[in-house]
Amino acid sequence: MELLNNLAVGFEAALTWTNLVYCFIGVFLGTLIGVLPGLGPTATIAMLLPITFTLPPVSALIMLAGIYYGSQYGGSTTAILVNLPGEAASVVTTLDGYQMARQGRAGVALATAAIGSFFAGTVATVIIAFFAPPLAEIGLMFGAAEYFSLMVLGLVAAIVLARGSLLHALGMVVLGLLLGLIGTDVNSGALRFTFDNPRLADGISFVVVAMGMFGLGEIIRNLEHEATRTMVTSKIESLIPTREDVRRMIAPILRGTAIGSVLGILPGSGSILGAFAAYSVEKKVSKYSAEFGKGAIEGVAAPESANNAGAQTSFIPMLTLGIPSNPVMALMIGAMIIQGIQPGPAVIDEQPDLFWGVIVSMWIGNLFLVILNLPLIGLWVRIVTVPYHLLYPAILAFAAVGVFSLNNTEFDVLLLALFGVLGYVFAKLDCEPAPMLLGFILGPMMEEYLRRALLLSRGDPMTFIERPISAGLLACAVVAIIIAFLPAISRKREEVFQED
Amino acid sequence: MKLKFRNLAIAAATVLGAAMANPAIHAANYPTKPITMLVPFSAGGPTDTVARLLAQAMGADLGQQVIVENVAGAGGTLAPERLTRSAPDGYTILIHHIGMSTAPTLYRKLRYNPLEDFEHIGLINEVPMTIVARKDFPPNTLTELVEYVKANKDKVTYANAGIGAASHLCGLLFMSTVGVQVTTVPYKGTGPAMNDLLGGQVDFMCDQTTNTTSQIKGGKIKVYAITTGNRVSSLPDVPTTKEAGLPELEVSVWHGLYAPKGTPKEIVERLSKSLQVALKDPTVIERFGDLGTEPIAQERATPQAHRDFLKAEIDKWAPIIKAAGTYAD
Amino acid sequence: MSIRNPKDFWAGLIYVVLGLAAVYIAQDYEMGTATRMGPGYFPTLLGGFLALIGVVSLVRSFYVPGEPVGALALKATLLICGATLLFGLMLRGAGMIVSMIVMLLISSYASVRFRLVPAVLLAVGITAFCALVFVRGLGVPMPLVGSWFGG
Repeated sequence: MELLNNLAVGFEAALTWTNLVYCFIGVFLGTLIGVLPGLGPTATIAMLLPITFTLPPVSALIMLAGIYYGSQYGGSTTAILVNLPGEAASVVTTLDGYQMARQGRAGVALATAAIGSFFAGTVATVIIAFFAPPLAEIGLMFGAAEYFSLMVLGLVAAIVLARGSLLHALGMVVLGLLLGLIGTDVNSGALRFTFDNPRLADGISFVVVAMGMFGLGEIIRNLEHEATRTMVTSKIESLIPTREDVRRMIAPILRGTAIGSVLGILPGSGSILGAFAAYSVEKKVSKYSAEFGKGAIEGVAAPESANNAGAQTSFIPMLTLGIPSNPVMALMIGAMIIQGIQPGPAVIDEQPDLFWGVIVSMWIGNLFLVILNLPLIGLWVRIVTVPYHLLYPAILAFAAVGVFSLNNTEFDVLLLALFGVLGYVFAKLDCEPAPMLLGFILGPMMEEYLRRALLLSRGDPMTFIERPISAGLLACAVVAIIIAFLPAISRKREEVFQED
Repeated sequence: MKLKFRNLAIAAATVLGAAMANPAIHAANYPTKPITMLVPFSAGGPTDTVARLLAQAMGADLGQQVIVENVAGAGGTLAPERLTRSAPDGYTILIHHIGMSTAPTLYRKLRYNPLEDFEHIGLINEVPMTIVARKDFPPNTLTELVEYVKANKDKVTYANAGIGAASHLCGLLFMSTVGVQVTTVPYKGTGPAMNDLLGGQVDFMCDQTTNTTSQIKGGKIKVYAITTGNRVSSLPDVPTTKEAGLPELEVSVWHGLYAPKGTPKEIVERLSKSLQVALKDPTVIERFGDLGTEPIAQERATPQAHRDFLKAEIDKWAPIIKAAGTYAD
Repeated sequence: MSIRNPKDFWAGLIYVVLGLAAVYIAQDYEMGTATRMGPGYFPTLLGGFLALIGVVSLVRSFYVPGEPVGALALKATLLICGATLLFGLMLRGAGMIVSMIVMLLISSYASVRFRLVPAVLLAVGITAFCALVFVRGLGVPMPLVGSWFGG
């Protein structure tokens, strides 16, 4: 079969000593960056681009790819240990992962993340190998209307994400949507809410908001109860997941992988949306949904699988069509161009060793990652035992540097402080940051796609229902809302009864 | 022995220190440390690619590393602003493209003047744009395109990479040359725009050869013409707009090198020389060729030629942008 | 009538203020129509919606009881966020080394377990690590020594 031939070509390319070494370097660096909060694969790859000039193209891409999906592994580490998402997509992992850490189950959480990620990465690589070109075609069928409907579905997921009051979840989502609008409006070029500050012209970075609200906010929260705080120091339970844990993680990992793989292909949404979606679906579907937000293992398994699967499948548009689905892919394209390779549909035919070599190396990389990460869990968990008053300044330092490195501007550090205050205030008022973050990501995208869809259909709002994929997605959203509100309505009834 | 050495060391340090303090000698020894090249867009894009190729070659000639620093944002206006605040000592330079000439008109609150606030080092290259369309779009030649657009102006959609982007400007020029207004659909960058073009969601657009060549060769999109005076070696079968009947539609994404105002003349000259050497470098020529561009003629890689060209471009685009009435702020 | 749910009350107030602010600022932007939205459309819609949610929350706070907000850790907030702010402001002038040490010392002070000598050692250690890994190793363009000191 042709596929076996292709894979053979790939193995030949990927299994040279040189490429194995570069693969390892890539995933190792990636994990490191993922662990260090704030510093993301985009900045790192940008910094390492010059080095890739001197490397053969296959090796360069293998290394850069390793950095990218490796960072998804590492990002969950700090998310679980100290509630600081190392990677944007790890925000969701903080919800249950950190809670598990507080209960002394950090090791289990980390192991779950590693296992889930490995499985997802492997499956995603297989998907790419078999289905890359047709999947890319499907990605192309998504126009503005389809994306808008997808975002609507995502918003409904945001409401499902809420732990506490539905009203506040809604409020936070809307606030997030508004904050996301700060910056330049794509459709008209107008600057909105920027107060004449050019640094706001491209909006606020997601990482800044996440670091501020989750990271700094959490530090202040912890200092609040410092005297009475029962830090995990005392009881670290086993590092290994129990039978029960493993049994519970299987289904979420499968679902997360599926959701993440699909959403990763769509340019623009990427692994973040996949993680959020997987979490929401899991919460609805799981019989342990009451535990979500308090340390449910499914709440770690699903998003971690999703974001890793998404990281791999997001290579598809890049490798098959030469279109970047996110800034990291744009960098890879840049690296290819500098090497003299024109990214695009011709790459599969003209450079099969490049294409298949990268794909096979992804699988090898995932293997390296799980071998690297599992033993390190013991080390990471020790970090949690460091006395908090010594740990949090370090967290602050990494967050500040990380945030600075996004755009090389200290303005982002100032924003970090601001969001720290906001994060703390909202936490005191029982308003969840997670829905706000999702609204923040979705807001500008929703508006962009809504307006573009209407532009393309020349003002006809029926376009959302006339196009089949879009209609299907909207129907799912409606169904999801109904399902979400059903228990809420009956819950309200119970509340009323109780008060009387 | 030790004492003698120590005296010698002190003497040497003093002389060196005095020498460093003397600006004339400073310029003569330039460069003594790495130089930073600011890039106004994020890494991986066409300007960034050109910058990195250039940095490599210039660094070899200058004997000091030229480090690329991406200062993306505000449509490419953040980096020039940074340059105005940098020391005019030749250790910070900026690469920019056609956006430098359109910024003063597009941004009514712009905080710098491209002609007065910078030293101009020289032009680098010109990347032609290609007029492309989705695979199933009815017209097959430029003439057919113009007719089709005129006949269906309410149905046709044109994509661009955002207000102020080269594709936006090309679109404005197209519409003013042909005399028809079509629905313009802005995107956040050429990636998403190309995506929708490939998917058939939008009808046609202009984009740099860097981004379109492989799609054209792969047969995924149609191409009508190249918007510069000469055909490009990477796309030998594509006619120029002049050949295809629309000679006024000439757009090229040109790149230029800038230094802060007040940088000593000798240093600017040195950089200009280095630029010219880099443009003769075979690797640069080859890579530029892959991108569909070639290094600019040596006599245009000079400060005066650069400044004159910049002024000409500013004057060329101002009326077109003002006629369209869309600004970036 | 007294406030029965302070959390709802304050959250509601914040929503109302921010929502109305958004609507107010958005007045400067073109509205357009529902099928041809201008830049001001979405913000006005969202701002209004947020203010509405705020009002509901405010009203509800008078009827449905809830827990009190609890004391705000003002000192911690000021020190942590203030330290971060200071770091950002001082970075170019004082350089990364000085700014970071200042930030770490101030933020360490927020802990009840603060003691000067360990805090200084910690600050220096973390700063050294960051300088080596981030600035030297990964090339983050932060000036180690700032312009006030001739960097």
